[in-house]
Amino acid sequence: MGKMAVIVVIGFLGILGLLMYNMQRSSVMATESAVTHFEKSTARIIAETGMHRGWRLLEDNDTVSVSNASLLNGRYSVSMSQIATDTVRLMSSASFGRAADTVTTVFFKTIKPVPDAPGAVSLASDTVDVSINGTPHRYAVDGRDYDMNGNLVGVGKPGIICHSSYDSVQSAAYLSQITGNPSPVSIQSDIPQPTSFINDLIGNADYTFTGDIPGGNFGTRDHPAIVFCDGTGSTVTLNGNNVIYGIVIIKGNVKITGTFQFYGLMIAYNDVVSISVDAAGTADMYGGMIMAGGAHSSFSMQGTATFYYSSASLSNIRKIQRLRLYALQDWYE
Amino acid sequence: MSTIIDLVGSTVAAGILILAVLGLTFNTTSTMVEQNLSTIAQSSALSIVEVFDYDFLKAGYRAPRPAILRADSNAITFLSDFDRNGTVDTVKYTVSSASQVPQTQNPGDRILYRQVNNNPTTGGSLGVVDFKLTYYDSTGAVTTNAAKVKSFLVRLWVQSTFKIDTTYSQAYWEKRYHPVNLQ
Repeated sequence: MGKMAVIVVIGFLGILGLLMYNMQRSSVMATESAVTHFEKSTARIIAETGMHRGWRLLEDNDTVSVSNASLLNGRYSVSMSQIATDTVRLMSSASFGRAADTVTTVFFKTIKPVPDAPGAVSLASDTVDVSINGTPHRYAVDGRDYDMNGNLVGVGKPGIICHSSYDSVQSAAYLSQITGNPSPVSIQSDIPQPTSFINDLIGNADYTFTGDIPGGNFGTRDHPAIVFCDGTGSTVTLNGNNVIYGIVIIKGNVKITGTFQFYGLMIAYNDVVSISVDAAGTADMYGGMIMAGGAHSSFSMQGTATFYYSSASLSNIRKIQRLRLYALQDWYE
Repeated sequence: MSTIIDLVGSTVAAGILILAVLGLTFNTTSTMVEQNLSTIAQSSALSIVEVFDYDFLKAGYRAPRPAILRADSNAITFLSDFDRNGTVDTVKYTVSSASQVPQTQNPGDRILYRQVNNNPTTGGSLGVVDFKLTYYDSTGAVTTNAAKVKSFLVRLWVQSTFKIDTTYSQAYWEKRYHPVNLQ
């Protein structure tokens, strides 16, 4: 009887043990299923985050190399390969637990929008008072295309672009000191208004001044910069020795009296703008200049200064670090 | 006399013990089956989710715009070169009516269909009882205009194909997809 009882008890214990094991196994399966999904999802999140970091690095440095970085207890690496002159492919590989994930993207290199200079000097204002009394043997405004070393390299564009026929007549009075193609002075009613671009450019300025732009060099040929000077209600004077590569934005009147070498795009804007190059000034400005002001803004040049149209100088502003932009072409995950 | 009392007493005690163990076994078995069905429902949902993640995150990849061609509350059709072979593929998701799965005990389960291009439609019951989509435009507002879709919310209900007592085990899952190529 006693033996029988022991056998019955052991039998029941065995059945109970088996049931408990099955319940445990079922629970483990459910947990494993959830954990596997969590690992895959987390690996994907890490790979996506790695790609976003790679994108940022690409815009800052033009290149990306992240190796075995740590995130959310996982690891990720980002590599870059050039697939065309302006196109790169990034690959972000991540691992978390037993899961791995990869995101592959293609980016196209471009810059934030900047206004196009349709001539050496673009007067995007109505009824501009023009006065050009420079040294007779040279042009004050030259729309032919120059490289950044001052060599004539191409046909180029008009010397002065005006908004209306009234302004065209004003400028045409100084044809002996203006040249360009297909004509020294041309009319274009839709000269780019810098107002739609200006805030973004100012927000990305490398140098910001109030009053005057001091003497000195700003930017280089390889690393051009954005210079902004707020001269609202006054006249911004450039009376030092300046060499500037990039974009110069001036809010207010401009007076150039010093030795000024400029390569890029100059924008002067305000309600009414007065741009004057003094007789004492020896300025060579390569690229393009856009003046945007209200009626009766004025543009006057004296001395030996010259505005040269230069497509090379305008293209060079694409190198401005803060304007660099890598646009996403496609994203695969 | 005392021996007889001992025998009767031990028999009664053994009977009570056996009944208790049988009751425990029955309850444990029921719980185990319920848990198993719940696990199966969850696993089924996660299996479907894996396919969703694979497909939906690629919506619009190297595809012309608009990449979303159909944006219904229980069906979606989109373009994507999801296998990266240079050819844009058309991916369709639809769900059948409940009456098309008569072989299971659950009267509410349906078949979730996935079709790529003109290949044969694939899909199984897997206990899907509902599949709902909500679409959003660039401002985050709900839209039914397929051309304006920038993101979409997918909701999935999965139930066990057999019931325990009077109920079916259920798993619910939802995720809002923001395919980068649609932005």
